[in-house]
Amino acid sequence: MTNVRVAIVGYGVIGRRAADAVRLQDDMEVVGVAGRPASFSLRDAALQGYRVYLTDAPKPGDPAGRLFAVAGKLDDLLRNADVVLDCTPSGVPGRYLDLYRRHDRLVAIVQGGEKQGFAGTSFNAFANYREAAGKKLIRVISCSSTGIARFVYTVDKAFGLKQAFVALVRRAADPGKAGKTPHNALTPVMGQSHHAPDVKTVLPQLELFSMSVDCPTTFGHVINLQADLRREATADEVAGALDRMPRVIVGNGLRNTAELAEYCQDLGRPRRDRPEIYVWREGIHVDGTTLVATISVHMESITIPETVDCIRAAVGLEPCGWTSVYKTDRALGIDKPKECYRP
Amino acid sequence: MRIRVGVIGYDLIGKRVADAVALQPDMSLEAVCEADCGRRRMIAAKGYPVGDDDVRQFAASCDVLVNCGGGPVPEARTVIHGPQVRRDGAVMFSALTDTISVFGSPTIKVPSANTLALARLLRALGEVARVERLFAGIVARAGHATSRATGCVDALEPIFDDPYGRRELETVLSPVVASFHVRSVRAPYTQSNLHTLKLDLAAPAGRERALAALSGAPRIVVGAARDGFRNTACVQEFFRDLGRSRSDRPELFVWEESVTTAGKHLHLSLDVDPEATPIPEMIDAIRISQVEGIDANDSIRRTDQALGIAESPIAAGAQ
Repeated sequence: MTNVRVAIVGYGVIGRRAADAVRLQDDMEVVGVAGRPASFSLRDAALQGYRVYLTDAPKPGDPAGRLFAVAGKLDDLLRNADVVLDCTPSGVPGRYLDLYRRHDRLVAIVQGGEKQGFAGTSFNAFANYREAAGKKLIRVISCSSTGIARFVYTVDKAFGLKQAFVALVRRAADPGKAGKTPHNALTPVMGQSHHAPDVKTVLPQLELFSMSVDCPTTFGHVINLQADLRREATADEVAGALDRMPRVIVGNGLRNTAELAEYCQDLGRPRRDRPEIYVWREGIHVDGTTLVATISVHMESITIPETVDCIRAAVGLEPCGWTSVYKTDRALGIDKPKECYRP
Repeated sequence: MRIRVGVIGYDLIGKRVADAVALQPDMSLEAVCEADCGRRRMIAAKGYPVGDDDVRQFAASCDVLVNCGGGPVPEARTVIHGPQVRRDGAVMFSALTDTISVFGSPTIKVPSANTLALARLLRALGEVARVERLFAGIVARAGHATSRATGCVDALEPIFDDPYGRRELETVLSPVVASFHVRSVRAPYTQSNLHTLKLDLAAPAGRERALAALSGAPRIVVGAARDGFRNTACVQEFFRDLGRSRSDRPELFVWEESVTTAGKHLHLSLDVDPEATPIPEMIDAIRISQVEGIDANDSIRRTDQALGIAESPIAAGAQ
């Protein structure tokens, strides 16, 4: 069987991780990475052995050609691809939409930085895997939304969820992005943040409200949740349900996001990545039917396994979501025992 | 007859209490007791009497001793323990406290800025609807900027184990709210504590009513992000320009656009100045502990007039 051919546009924080994750799967391959000629990230792609394409013509002095060889233009790349993962910053995929549409068999998958209305379909592997089948433009929900979705999905499945209030403390900007966040200041989002509405695009039946504060930190987001369950449960039962869920780590003894990152580094995770949400066992507290919990999202890697599953769902490589999730997790080395992968 | 007040400890809170006492027409600052020489010079430079080494002698000339964690506390007619001091068993003073329980009490405790903030909020919203449940996600500053013990420079650390803090909250809030959960996350930040709140009301309350109650409440100011208060630094910069002592903001700051309602749920974001917030309550505690039958609102008015926080500086600027 021939591999699904995947093109990556944008080799930033997400793009480079998506490329590596696709390369690790046995049913898909990266046919090339495209980016701006002025971008140094394409040099990184070339060093990783990917064929590099340009989205625009290079100017003299650009890294393109100078620091790495160029295989062609974006259009050349897309001609040989079944799926394009657009991992460019928010607002940028819109520039390439017409080009993607001109390749009429091409499936385009964008990340959560795009607005909900950008793609007809939003995606999360647990919540709505099958909805992506046959779609040409799909949006994987954002990093925090993915983390919240995994948590509320688990809790709803195990105990029933009446409502959840989500209070996020988020890293405000990717590494090196100057000007996106003030130093030594907190920026609250006014009113409801985009997260709960984002989760509801894939779990529409849940009642959720989210508020978010941007913070000058780098290692990960921390999210506090107040969830009203439909039945009483003990903290141990809640911990058990989360522990059995793929892409969720329930841990004890790691005090903060820096210790968590250090732990992942010690585990040998590439780039110290942690695609799983981390749930502080110490923070699981149940009061009657009210559950309070605190989780951490590693924003750089959490959507990567979702993106791989989205490819399979869209092109019909695998009809069963949990089979794809297991396959992805095995390839990425983050799998749990096989019995955890069932509806 | 002015209330004679002694302050023990000229730290971040103590120095503010001393200044605040000096501003009250019905109080006199008898002495500030402090072991550190540098701070003793600062006390003297302000013209405040520097307390003896023998704190007991100093205690004899005071009606109220305010303990800001400066060391051993002698007996006095009334001792008020500040937020930095962990004390169980004392009468806890906040916006929700019944003044009758405070008068004549030998030991009073003023809780942390965050607890006081929630008390003020509940008192203000009590006009609008009964609050059945409260959830607060607090982004807590890792420590004061000068603190060398703040912990991580770049990590978010959730706090799960704070039994004293929980007892304090329980004492202050449980008479008024049946159920509450507070989750703090320490962040690499020094200036304030930011509360993200969800309140479950007994009946739906309109957003306008809630905003009116907050704007009208003492020691709470409401500002809009669209008017330039985009983040905590913008809020702090505004207050730096006002010329207040130490640019302090004893008032809670509520972002207008953060106030939203959904059925019986009320949500809002507010910012708490950790050093300045407790000061008005500490002054009220001093007064109410000594003056029989005083009305809480009367004390609040007198304190706020003297401190120059009776009117919102944001509302004033808008005229």
